Amino acid sequence: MIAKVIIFVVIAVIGGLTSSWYMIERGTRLTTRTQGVWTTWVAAGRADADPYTRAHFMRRGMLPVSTALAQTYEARTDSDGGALFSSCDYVVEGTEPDAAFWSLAIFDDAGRLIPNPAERYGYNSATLMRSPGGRFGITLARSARPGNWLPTGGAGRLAVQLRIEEPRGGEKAEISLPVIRRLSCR
Amino acid sequence: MPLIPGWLKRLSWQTVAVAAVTGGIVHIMATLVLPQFARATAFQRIASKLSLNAMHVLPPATPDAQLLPFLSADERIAVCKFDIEAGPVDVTAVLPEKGWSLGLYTASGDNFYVIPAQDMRRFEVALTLVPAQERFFGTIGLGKQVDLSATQVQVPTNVGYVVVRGMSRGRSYTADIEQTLKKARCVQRKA
Repeated sequence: MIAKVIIFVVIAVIGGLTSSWYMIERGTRLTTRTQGVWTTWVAAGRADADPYTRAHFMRRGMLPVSTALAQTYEARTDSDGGALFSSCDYVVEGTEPDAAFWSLAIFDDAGRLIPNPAERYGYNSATLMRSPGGRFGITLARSARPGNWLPTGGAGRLAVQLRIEEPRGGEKAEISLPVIRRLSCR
Repeated sequence: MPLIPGWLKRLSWQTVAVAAVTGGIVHIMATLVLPQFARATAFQRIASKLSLNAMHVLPPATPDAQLLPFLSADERIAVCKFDIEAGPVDVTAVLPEKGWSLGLYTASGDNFYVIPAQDMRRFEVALTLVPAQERFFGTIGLGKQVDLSATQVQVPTNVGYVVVRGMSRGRSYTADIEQTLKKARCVQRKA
């Protein structure tokens, strides 16, 4: 009987550790908001942030901007649910977020900039070329593409970060976010 | 195969309660302790570039020299580590256009104050960082000159960070951004 109790407590310890790790690394509906492929931590950088959010950004070594000013979204999959890989080409497309300023940048899985001879790592609402009507498209590809292009090199898994500052309607407003469509894979 | 194994059914409710409480305690402890095992928080990563009560413009992020993860190469930042133990700290910065902001952080990374650039005008920010209890009286000592033009901000912890962020509008603006960030100041008042 004692052995079974010990086993049960060990399972409880493992469960406690695993659930903690999951809530810090991935987040849950309590701490994150997901819209399409994009996920944002709703209390990022705030003084009243919950312990999971605080631990998430401390562990990753990031310096988040408070969600009182900006919503920072991250995507690691395309709109079909496949993980973003540098061996595939994608297009990030949609209408411009209705906000004072926004920026989009691409990183490898660990948040490192991807080396490329063109020294292109991101676009923002001041540097992006867009079509009339406010639509835009940014191609993520290993080799050069016309228009807005972000090189993916040989980074392996990719992460795309979208930061929207002062969205119209405030921090809880539903913002139109772009989709990430896979074009082709090698 | 039964849904619940026989031995599990024989466990008393006390055992289940103990296990659940144990799991909960482990969960809470792990959540609070795990960040302490972080390889380096954001401010620990940039600590070597900073000195106390002085603004430092960090070098632009490149693949070979990236101080912080997920920091865009378009984004330039100036950081000041402040300590208000010995007196208030005056902070000034210019936020010339949208995409710029000034944020105040506690040492543990909470962004307790943030002010963005304003529409269509060059925005000069002047703040005085004071301890939480000294907002009205502590900094207004007899015989001292009081700067009423600056906004006083109560800081929850004595030590923290000022972060001025600027966004690039393209390579041709790089020098402009650097110059504007270099104008930011973070100075402790003399007693």
